[in-house]
Amino acid sequence: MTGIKLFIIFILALMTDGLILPALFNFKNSSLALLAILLPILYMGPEKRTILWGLFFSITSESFRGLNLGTLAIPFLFTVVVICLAQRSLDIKYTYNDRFSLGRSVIVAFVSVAFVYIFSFFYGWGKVGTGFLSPVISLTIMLESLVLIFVFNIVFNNKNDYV
Amino acid sequence: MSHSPFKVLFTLFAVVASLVFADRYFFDRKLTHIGPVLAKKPASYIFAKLESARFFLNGLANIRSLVSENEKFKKENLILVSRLADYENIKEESSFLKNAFKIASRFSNEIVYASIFSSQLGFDGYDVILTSGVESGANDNDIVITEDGVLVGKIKRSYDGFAHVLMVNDPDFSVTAKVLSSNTAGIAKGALDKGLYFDLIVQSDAIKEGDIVVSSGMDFFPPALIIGTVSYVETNETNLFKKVKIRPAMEDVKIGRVLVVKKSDRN
Repeated sequence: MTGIKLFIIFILALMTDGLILPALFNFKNSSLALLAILLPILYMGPEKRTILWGLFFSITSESFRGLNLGTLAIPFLFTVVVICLAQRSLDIKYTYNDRFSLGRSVIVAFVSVAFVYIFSFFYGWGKVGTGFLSPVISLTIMLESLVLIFVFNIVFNNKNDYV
Repeated sequence: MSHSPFKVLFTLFAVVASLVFADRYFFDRKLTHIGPVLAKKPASYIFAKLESARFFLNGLANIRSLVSENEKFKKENLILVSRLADYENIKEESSFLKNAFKIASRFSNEIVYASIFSSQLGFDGYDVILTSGVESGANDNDIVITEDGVLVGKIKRSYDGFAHVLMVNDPDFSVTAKVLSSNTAGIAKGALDKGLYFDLIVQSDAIKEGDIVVSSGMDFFPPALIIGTVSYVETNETNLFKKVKIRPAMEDVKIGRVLVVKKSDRN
């Protein structure tokens, strides 16, 4: 059930990113689809199911964008390695009782910005596009993270959704 | 900390590497091309409808200024009609001279009608997808414009069934440009959310906010394509060049339906 919920959120994020925001609001700087791939790993922890779902979402995103296979999947896997290492000292994942904690949401939103840039580092094979290093884009990523975290808090309201 | 995630990751790396290898050597990198081909028709329909809704809602929001805008547009229209007459005359002379000296046009008259159905921010620019690909006649480096003559970009890579577009505000995009009705010229380069930067404008060049910037035709782009409007000018006597930003004109028009201008075979 968690997987189905995640899949629906991901598809909605993909459509919002690629269709609704650019066409209806003329807003082209959204990273919702990418956050829908990374945030479950940060939110629920780097567990087998979240990693598998994240990889599936990466490949689906590659397909929707017409990118070559592996373009997002390989950087995603490298980013998850970094998340796994960071989890040892940061412990940023949510538990059932932590839901709707504003402080934790802000922290996870900040951390998600950092991991998006780590993702872009692996995507560019060591380079980060200078255009992507923009205060507007960073702020957008953070705000979208907060929105997604809020959605996760509401949707994942079952103790079984959390480890 | 459990080692389980690392075992899973190692397995997944191996699986993905195998898939990438198979995709490259057995499927000619077409495994993920199914997505755009399947999605393009419904997605382009939705994209066009949402754009129409945006313009309708913008119109409603600006309803109070309709009367004054109408008067302003009537005046501008009269000026443009007189310029159009001059343009037709010059075009006729140019065509006559080209025929006389047997100079081939750099751009063919072939146009491919296409739609943009997805625009997402990627790490190295925007991932914008066009419904037309190689099978429709849209090839790499063909120019993408709107029906109004607004420059949207050029085709970065064309595949069977779809193509990737390099938009004007993509960091990898650049075009030689000039200010309309002026000698001020430079190179317009994409800058993502900041629009475009208009480079190589020296301190003595005349340029101000509100000036219209068009393609100069000194490179692979046809001349007189509308790029945008100057939105910011910074003059600093200690620098050789001015800092000029351009607001892309494609922000104010619908880009759901576009034209692909094919280059002449001689280019």
